[in-house]
Amino acid sequence: MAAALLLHQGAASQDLLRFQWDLFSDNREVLVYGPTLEAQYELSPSTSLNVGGQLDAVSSASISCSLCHKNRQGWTRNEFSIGAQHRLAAADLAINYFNSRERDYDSDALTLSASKNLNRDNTTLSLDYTYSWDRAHPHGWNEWLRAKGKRAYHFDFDFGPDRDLPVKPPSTDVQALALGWTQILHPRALVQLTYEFTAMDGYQSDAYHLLPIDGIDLFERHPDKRRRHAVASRFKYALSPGSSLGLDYRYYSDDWEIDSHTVGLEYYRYLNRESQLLRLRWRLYDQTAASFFQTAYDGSEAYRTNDDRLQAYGTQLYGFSLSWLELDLLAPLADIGPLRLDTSYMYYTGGPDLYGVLSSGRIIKGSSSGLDAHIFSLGLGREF
Amino acid sequence: MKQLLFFVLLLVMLQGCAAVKPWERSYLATEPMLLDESPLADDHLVFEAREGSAGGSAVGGGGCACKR
Repeated sequence: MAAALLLHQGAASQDLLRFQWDLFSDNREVLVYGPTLEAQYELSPSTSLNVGGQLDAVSSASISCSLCHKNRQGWTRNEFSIGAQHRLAAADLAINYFNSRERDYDSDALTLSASKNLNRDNTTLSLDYTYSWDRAHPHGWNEWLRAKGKRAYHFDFDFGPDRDLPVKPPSTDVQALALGWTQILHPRALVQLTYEFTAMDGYQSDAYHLLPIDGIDLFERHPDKRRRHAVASRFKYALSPGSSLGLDYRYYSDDWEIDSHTVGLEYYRYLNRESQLLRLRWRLYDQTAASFFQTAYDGSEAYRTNDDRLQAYGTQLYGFSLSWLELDLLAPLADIGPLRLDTSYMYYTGGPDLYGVLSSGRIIKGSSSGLDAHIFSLGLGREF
Repeated sequence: MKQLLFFVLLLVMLQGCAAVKPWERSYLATEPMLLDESPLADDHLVFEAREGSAGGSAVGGGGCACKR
């Protein structure tokens, strides 16, 4: 409780061990499920370490994967993270490394964070910088590379037409800078403002997206640069000692001419003498289309896309979660103290209509209804 | 640029807020008032994989995220 009186808890935190299981399922035959394990260990009152791992098992016949994962073939994505937090001269410093591996996509990211409480802990300023390096290894490139006398990589699928393929496996450099300001306004209210700038350089197309133009399948071609700006605000108000109302708004704009507005509303309430916590949530999202998005191309355009995320559309999300904050679930088996059990369900709907799903060079769908997704999570954790 | 100026202006305005004493923060110290997402709310990958915009909530790592 005492630590929570500060806006930012900082490096002085408890040891933690936590397990989580997630499941995502939608009406486009995408199914993702898998476990997450995270641990935090306090080395000293001012320093702590954290490690985490995640495994996503994916079964999909979605657009992006229709070429190589037909018939609901599956694969896995492994994620690993490690980090450290340290309090130095009344400032909290953190460094985190993140790694994601799947058979056709790798990513590494390093994040540096700093935050400081000011104004008698009524204000927190934070600064985060992230550099990430993503590499795509689309299936079928080996054949093309060998034909060109280039070094071959570990690919295992005949991709088909290879016109417009880049010479080397594509990579993307991403740098993100986020500034945060958290302010206590009143004994019952606080607000947080965030600005984030992201610079993406390199290959930003999807190597599995094809566009049939005059009988020839051309790969989509996105600009190599993208500059993204997001300004967000979060406001929270305590309705009572055990309940709160939250309001979020985010405005986003980038140089691909996508603008978006996101509004979120949430309600928290303790139940049963603060032994359970209920959260109700609603989120509304709306965006404009990218400047080069078209429903048909003639091949002369500088850029072309088959990415449904680049058209104009909106989504909604409805969710609730229920947490048991101190549950003696394993008391009969071992004396490990109370556990925290978190459960949640979210319904995510809306999204773009599919305008052209390609498989083996042919359009297999012209359009379909939007997205309907169900997201379940179950977590079990223990603070020591 | 306009967004940045708006952001800076808001920050300046918020400096005028009266300081809340530590013993006045009993409401703020409860979990319902935490600004950090709940442990299960790591849904950024879901949104980033299905929406054309991202950012503003936290600086995340990389990764394809195209499957979630």
